[in-house]
Amino acid sequence: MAWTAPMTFVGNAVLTASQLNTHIRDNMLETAPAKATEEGSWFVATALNAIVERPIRYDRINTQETTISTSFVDLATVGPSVTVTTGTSAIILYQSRMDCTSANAHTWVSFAISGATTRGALDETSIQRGGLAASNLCQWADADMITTLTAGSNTFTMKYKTEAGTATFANRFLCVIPLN
Amino acid sequence: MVWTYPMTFTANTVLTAAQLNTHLRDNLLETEVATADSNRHHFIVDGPNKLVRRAAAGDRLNTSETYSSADWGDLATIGPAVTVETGTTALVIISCRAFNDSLGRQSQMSWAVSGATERDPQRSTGVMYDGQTATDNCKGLNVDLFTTLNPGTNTFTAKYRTSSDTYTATFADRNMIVLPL
Repeated sequence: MAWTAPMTFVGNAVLTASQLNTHIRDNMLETAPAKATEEGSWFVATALNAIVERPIRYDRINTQETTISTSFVDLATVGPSVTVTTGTSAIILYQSRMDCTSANAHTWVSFAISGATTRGALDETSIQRGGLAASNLCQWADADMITTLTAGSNTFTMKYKTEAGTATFANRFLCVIPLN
Repeated sequence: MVWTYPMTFTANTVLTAAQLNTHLRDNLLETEVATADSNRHHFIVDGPNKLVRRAAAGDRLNTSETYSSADWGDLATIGPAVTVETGTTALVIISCRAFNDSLGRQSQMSWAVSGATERDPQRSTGVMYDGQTATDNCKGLNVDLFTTLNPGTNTFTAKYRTSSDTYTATFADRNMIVLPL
């Protein structure tokens, strides 16, 4: 069913079951309360007179793990990872604590997308630590708004790399907010 | 039209067209589905029994550019900048990669507001990098829930500064997201 612009009622006109079903029942079934299923979700528009429920999903892995890879990889515990149904747009928020055994070496945390969309982790959308003394901790975050997703089920997974030495990551957090 | 508290129907009472129009038609027209007119809108409460549609917006400039002033200003490529319809509140997220040509000097990114609201960039709502070795990059973000906007069309524009006019900061991968609430 779809939304129909509500009819204007006219005095002395006999209402039919079909009219009431179309203009009242079916329209009410297109509203947020009728479509609401999951606590913590919100509603976004997908087109003219069309809304959809989208859950805001997150994942957290606090475990401290390391990598010496100079290209984006998974840690021993893959993730954090979030699978959501999206339209073409979403906001991705991610955070990590980072340090490195090599002084001034850069470390990166980014995210890859799989499923309906395929996109590798990118330096331009990453948290980056650099120019600090060896083993000095920092805990930072980054955010990205992507408007070129392929609509459907998309999985976002955090990825990691270092310029040199052994990079350690902990308190890893990922949140995806679908915008349509 | 506005939302009207739905009437309670009573057996054997003749309903008038006016009642049906007020309590059914007009109330249905106040729902989010009736007001949805474009992709990517979300719906915010704008008062008792009143919804308004808002859209998040983002802008990204990856170009690496420099800045050498202790006063807030623009880079060669102004921005990122985002123009959105807001009420009084918006979540503002900014991030960038930055480094300074001098050891231990600050590189800062914040944002200004123009349009319905006028607000200068502020150190308290910005990304700041400090204490790194010269030319070493860092990249992170700042987030602020700004609750004193003037409702209407507001433009958020990233601004930049460094510790002193004698130091040069380089900024790249500049990103801004505004979520009207």
